[in-house]
Amino acid sequence: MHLTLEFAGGAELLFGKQKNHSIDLPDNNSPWTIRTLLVWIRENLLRERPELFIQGDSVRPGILVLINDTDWELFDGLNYQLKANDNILFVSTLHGG
Amino acid sequence: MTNYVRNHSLSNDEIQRYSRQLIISEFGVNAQERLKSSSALIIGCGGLGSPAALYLASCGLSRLGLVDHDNVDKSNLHRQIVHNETTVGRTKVDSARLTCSQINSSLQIDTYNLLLTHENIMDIVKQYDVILDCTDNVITRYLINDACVLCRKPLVSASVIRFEGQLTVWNYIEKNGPCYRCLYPQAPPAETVSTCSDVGILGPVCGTLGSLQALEAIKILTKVGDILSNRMLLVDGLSMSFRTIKLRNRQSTCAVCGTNPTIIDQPPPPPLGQCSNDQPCRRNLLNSNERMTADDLAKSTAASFIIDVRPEQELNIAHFENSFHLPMDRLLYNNNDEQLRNELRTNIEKHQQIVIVCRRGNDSQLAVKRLKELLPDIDNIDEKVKDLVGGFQAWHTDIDSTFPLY
Repeated sequence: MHLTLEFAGGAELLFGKQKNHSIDLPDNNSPWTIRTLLVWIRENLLRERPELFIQGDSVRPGILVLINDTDWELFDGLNYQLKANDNILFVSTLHGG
Repeated sequence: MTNYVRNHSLSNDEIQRYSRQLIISEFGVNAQERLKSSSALIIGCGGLGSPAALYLASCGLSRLGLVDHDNVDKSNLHRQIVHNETTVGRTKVDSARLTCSQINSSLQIDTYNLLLTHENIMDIVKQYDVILDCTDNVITRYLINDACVLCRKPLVSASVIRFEGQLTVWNYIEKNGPCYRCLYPQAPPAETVSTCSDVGILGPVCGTLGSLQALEAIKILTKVGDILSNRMLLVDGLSMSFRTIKLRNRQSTCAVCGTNPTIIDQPPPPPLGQCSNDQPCRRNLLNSNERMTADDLAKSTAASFIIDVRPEQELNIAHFENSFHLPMDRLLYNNNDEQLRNELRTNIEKHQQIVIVCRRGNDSQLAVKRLKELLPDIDNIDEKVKDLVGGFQAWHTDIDSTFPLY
């Protein structure tokens, strides 16, 4: 299943400074969710310091997850079932001024 | 002579001054009159607060409040455009007041040269119609959010770093919009938070976001247009993309704006040990015998191997001759880097002392710990490896003032 992953707000620094990733998830017995996607990202994309991106089975506090530009809270959060060609954006909150 | 009608309170001088916004079809005299009876509070007179202050001082408000506890520094001037060379060293609120009053002498400007706390913020926030969060740290952002929810004030919030910016309006009650805590119930771990003084910021990025904050504030005060509530604008200056994302509504579980709030009369005090500014906290991870001062290093006659752990762009500003460049990233995440380990081993064994230097003396302490972990079997490694207390900043202050400060 094809997806576009994006990392912004500094989260891209953990992924070799690359903001856009076009990925293909292998076929799975059960449907892919954000929860299982995070595991896949940790094993396949995350270059360094996993604790700066993942905490427990979710993202760490301060990272916002957007499904096709919409807050994942408006869907099922971790349990959202991914669809082909979804765009998943992970934005780290900025604090500077 | 024919009589004329004007059903508003604007003077001819005001009409002339604000004519270019008065003649916008969506704006007009009504919006201008609303501005004339409105007030705004800018918290933080830095990169975001500067353009926000300039535009809000210009637009015809009755009152502008300015909060900052800091003084103008030369390193502010590339982005904090309300200040200038003649006000370096003065308080930021005085400097900003001076500039704003030169733009618009009829504006009432009230300044607060103080660090906001959970005890003093409510009295200030409640006096204004709209609040702009132009601050630079997480603790203050929660503080301002909580005060705005408790005082029922809309909060125009922006943040920036490097080439990026984020903008939204929190606590916009008319749209049932979320507050900062609805989105971020839990603060991020301190070590994940980057600051402008650590990783940098380009001036026009602040200029863009701060100007947009002023625009949202004007829209809120005049009730014109769609407010950026339940939405967030993400700006990436590097790829030059502007994108609006859709956010959740107000959360019933929110600790401050939810149905059973735990934060009721005033914002909670900050968690112990957290700083409410973007100045780096001085860490003390090492014992004094694992460290050396700039003076010790200057007088030392031992054959030293100096490891500079700063990123390359900082090294390019200035570095010690013959120092070994090993950026923190490479040192910390090099588990499979056998070549690096061998190079370090050779050099450490061959020298009498190893000195690790960085910008301020924080990373260098982490680096000492890491180096000892990597090569535990080297003789005397505990005695040999030290870090420079206070880093190149201390070197500049105590030994060589020509070494550039940044």
